[in-house]
Amino acid sequence: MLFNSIDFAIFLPIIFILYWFITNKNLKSQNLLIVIASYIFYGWWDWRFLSLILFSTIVDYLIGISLSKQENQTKRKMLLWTSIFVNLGFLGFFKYYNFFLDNFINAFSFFGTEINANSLDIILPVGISFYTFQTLSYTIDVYKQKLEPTKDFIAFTAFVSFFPQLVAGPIERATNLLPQFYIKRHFEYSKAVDGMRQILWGLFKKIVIADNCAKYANIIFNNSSEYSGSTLVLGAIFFTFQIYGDFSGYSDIAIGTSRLFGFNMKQNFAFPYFSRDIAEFWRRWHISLSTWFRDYLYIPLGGSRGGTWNKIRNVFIIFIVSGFWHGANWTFIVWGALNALYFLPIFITNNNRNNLSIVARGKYFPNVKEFLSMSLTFGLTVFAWIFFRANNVEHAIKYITDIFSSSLFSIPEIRPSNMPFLILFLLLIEWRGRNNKHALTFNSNKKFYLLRWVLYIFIMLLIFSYGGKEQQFIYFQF
Amino acid sequence: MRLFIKRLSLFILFGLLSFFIFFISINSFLNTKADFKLDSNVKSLILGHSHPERAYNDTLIPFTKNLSGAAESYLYTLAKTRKIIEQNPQIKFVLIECSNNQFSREMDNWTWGNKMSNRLHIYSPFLKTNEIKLLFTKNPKLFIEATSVLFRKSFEKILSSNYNYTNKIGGYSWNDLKLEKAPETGNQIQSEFETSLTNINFLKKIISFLNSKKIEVFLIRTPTLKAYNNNYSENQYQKIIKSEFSHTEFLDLSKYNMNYSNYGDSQHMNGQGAKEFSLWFSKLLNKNLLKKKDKQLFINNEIKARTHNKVLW
Repeated sequence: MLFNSIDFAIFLPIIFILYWFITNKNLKSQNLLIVIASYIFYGWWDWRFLSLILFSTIVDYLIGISLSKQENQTKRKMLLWTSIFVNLGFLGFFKYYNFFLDNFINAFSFFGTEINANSLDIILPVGISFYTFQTLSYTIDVYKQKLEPTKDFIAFTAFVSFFPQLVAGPIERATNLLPQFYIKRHFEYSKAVDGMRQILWGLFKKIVIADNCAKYANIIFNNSSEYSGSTLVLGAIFFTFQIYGDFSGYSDIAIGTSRLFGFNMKQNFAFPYFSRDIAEFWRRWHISLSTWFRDYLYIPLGGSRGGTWNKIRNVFIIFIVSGFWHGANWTFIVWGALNALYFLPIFITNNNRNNLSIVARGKYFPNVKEFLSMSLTFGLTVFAWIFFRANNVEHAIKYITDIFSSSLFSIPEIRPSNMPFLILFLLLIEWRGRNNKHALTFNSNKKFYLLRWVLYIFIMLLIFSYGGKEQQFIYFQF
Repeated sequence: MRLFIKRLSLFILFGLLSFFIFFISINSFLNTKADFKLDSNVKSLILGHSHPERAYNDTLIPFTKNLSGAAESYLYTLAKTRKIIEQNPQIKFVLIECSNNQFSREMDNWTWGNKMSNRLHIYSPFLKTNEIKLLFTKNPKLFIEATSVLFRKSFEKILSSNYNYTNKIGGYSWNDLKLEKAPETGNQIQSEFETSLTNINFLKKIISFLNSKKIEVFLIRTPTLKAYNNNYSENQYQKIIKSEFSHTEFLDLSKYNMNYSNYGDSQHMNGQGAKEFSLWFSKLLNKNLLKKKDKQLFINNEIKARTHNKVLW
């Protein structure tokens, strides 16, 4: 079920009422309700894939318990690899089988050997990349003895399938989310209200920004050869806001919804387009995934220890794998590699931790240097998104070549009158709230009570006005 | 929890009220700003759905403006008519398409079905409260969806300060499709159809509005291919015309014969067909068709007199 659908608008209040009025006396029933709600939520797309998530849950639950009982290191390692094999096996089969097969066939035909193999008509289970990584984090943490394995199967199932973040993240660590299922949740007014605000802002980003930018980005990318360089630049910018609105919007709705049920999730997007360098961008973009790769891939590889070549290798590995996680296409790999190239110079010169605090803290405007570095970083990300959005690498190269033509300085053929206002509104609200966990955070100042309500109603009006058509969230495909 | 539910309910109430106020304000603002001005030499209007929209090339018919819109039911034609007449007092004649399918139940779907979101954002400012209420009660879900489109389009309209409606409410539409062969005429049994009382009533309202403004109204029936007409019973159609619209003159042009290659499909003329038909129709108007005593006899004679009476359907 989509967050921006009537189905969810009915589903959420029902679960909310049952949760706080019927099951609020007992922790087990609260958790059980979450499991049932999550399975309904997930089964709404395709109930057949419920077996997959259930299997993955059972495997990791049993492995977790076995790991706690097992002291033999070799056997512990075998248990860990079983979990990795099962989880990544599913992911590999459903997401990457056809990609590897096609590339294998192409590689052999390049050397003159024809291989007859048919690709499979596989449907990618929604959110498989997200819950796979979440369960893996549990097994790895238990293996590393950072986390006590749970014996409460319902709590563990609720952790794996928790509906707000099941299909598009954030990828919550077991160390953060699982313990919250051990304690009975109590309703907190301020948390619930703030959760509602975050949901509202998430819906705005998804419905008003992402879906509208998508309309123009799709037209321009799908017919890129027919447009001038300036229009192609505009297309890339539209996609830049589309992907941000889509993914961070989903994260906001997920985090906000979980707060309604008394849970705390980590921030997943921290206003990345206000970053002053690429390192800062990657500390602010899809934080739950970046930190996952940092902790479970980059650090085990040696991280920033060792010689320069080791560092470079590790950076490339983490960016390329991160790119590949997004989809089985060379475009994502190139996108990852390009970001590694952006990142390397500041990393090697030890400048990657220069901008740790939020830009222009306590000020209304950034200074000239901050503004220029934000613009440069934004420009670099826009350029990289072209590879992410293009149909294939050739298309991306052609798109970029066409940008740098004489028509780059012509008036764009596509000039939607409403988009500059909507994007400006997004940036203004996000700039105002950049010190907070989400853009619509307000302190409980009663002075501006009415003004805040007017702002909420205005946002609701925009959501309503642009919500005529439902569109799939991009990140479900990852 | 109680405080949360109380405030949330209050907020929802406040939100609904704001939506309602916004809906009314945007409609009355656009109603005031709307520009429906036509050329001052336009004396006759042609209104209706896609049949006349594709058939009357008004560049070939002097002093006439074709403002028919594809898939338009009479409710929206009524809203359009009110504004055009209000801003164009020079209009003396209105010809309204009245073909068999416009009495059928299918028109209800055109009024409050899926097509509502394509119409409401244009006509909502010009609809009366009871008409809006009708749309809401008949299909609340689609009405809300259509209102969403209305809000969006209104924002865009206000941002671009473009309040001209004459190019959004219909007009002659060139059709370059061409039928390759004559369509099957079927078994010649004309099926009875369920009637749309709503559409019939709105047609009556259009006529009564125009009469009150002392404008001469004519119902017309544009030619289509026989294969299409077989879908709707002619007897039933004639009965409705005679019983419900006996006081309005009916000009039946449907006997005007044209080769199938002049059609894009069985019900719509293509550009070539429209050119031929419009020139012929223009001649009729020049011969004072609208002032003749027995107009239908005159039309029938003109059809007979056409020299190129070739093989038709």
